[in-house]
Amino acid sequence: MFETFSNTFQAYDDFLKSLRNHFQLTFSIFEKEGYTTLLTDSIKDSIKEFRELVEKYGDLELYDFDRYKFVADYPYILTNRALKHISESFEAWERFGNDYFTFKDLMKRTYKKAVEEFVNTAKTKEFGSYSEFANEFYNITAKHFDELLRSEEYLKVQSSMNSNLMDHIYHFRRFAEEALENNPLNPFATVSQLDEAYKRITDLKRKILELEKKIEEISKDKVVQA
Amino acid sequence: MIEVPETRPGVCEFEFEIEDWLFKLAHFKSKPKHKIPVLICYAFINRPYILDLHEDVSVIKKMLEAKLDVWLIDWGYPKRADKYLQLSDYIDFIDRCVEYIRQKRGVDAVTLHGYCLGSTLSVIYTSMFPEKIKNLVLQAPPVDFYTTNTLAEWARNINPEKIARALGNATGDMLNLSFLLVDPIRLVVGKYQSLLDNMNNEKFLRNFFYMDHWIFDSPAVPGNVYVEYITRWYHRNEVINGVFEYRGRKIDISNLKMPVLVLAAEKDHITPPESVKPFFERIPSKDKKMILSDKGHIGLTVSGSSQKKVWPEAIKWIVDRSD
Repeated sequence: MFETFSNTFQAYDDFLKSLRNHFQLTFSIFEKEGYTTLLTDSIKDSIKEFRELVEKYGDLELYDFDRYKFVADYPYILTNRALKHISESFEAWERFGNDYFTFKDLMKRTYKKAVEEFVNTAKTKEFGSYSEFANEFYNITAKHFDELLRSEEYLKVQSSMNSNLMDHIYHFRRFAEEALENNPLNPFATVSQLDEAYKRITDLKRKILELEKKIEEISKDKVVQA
Repeated sequence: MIEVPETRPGVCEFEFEIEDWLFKLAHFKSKPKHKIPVLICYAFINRPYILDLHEDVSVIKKMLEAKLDVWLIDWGYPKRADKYLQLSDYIDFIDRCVEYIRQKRGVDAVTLHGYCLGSTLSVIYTSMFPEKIKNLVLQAPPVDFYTTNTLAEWARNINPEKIARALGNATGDMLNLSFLLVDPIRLVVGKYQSLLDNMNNEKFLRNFFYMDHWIFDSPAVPGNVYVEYITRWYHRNEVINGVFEYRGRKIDISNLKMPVLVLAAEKDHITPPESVKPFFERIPSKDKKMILSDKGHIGLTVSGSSQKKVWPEAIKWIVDRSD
């Protein structure tokens, strides 16, 4: 089971490394091709336009800021936040990888210890049937794993492994969302934007229920009074 | 080799009388003779049909045969859209069901039967609205969460906020994996060895596939509810400590003065008897009883010995207090 999982782990690890290399290469190309100059120029132009606008109108209304989302006007540009998320995602994955190998090692060591104990038992004990033999093996192995799964060392590794994997998943998703949310060509809502909508719907449902209860109580009071 | 039996859980006929987005209230068809209805509140981490798994082990069938009026709350299969539900929404729905049944049957109070985490919700609800509960039945009730079993140790050592932030909900598959890895040798390896050993035993195969179907039919837990469940119950042990709050009101176990029946299992790895007994001692009711099964958390419902010994006694206890 661990070996099969190791292959999946390795494949995903390779994918992430390729992605990281892709980013590094892309940025180095941008640097060489003067993409940064293009960006700097557009920022300069925007600042100039902004100054002119302020001079023209004095006070600036909030909606005017919409004109200055220059970053979003260039598709495929990654915002600082997106880069922060992908970098945190890579770091969390690396920590998860280390934890996973510690976890695997703990499992292997425990299994080895259990097998050693079983072999020693089997040397002195006679088994009447295969079931007896298998049950003895399961009991000894289960005893060792019971101890491991509650040990401080295991709890620490499991907690860290879980926490880092969840961080990786979250930051990777947020990276993709940042890239999409800031891309004017993207017509879709992201998971985080949908979550916000779900949150508001749930809050509204709660308020409606509360109102329904109040209406019911008022109706009951009216019946009693009548 | 015998053919693998078809798995179609659920024996007793029912109709949904309330359908509210995710939550539902089911009413089992019967001709009840006893006045006080029984409302079953199952855990939100598994499916409630374990109480009606198949003909031989259906607790609900036994209740209907005893002429009880049986209702059941179905917490459904939460989706991403349900991420922001809270534990208080679950308690609100219990209240909605109790009110509905009270009005429909013209009774002041009902029998509330909680199972596993449904017991925890039932204890909270009953302590808030004791006047609406005539009898309280608590099956494998996790109320004191400071236990030394592996699952509780794991729960105390995880960060549920990170899981909810990454996955939205605590998925059924993830929860299932945790439950299996708590005892990997017996639950992942040993179990299938027993299957191989019993390939020609039709009864064994039937029970095995029905159980396996139920085990892997795990709903997700809404993200917010999962965070509350782990932090408020496992990390802070708010229920037994009397600090759990519902809509500004604190839980008060001293309100459990109605007849209380507690069903516990000796080999329960989720709610070990050593955590149930101190809670049972604290229940102030003068009419309280505990029945102990020699099985585990689920065996308490579906095992042959529980079906023969525990349930006839438990149902008699309910019937005796239902008129």
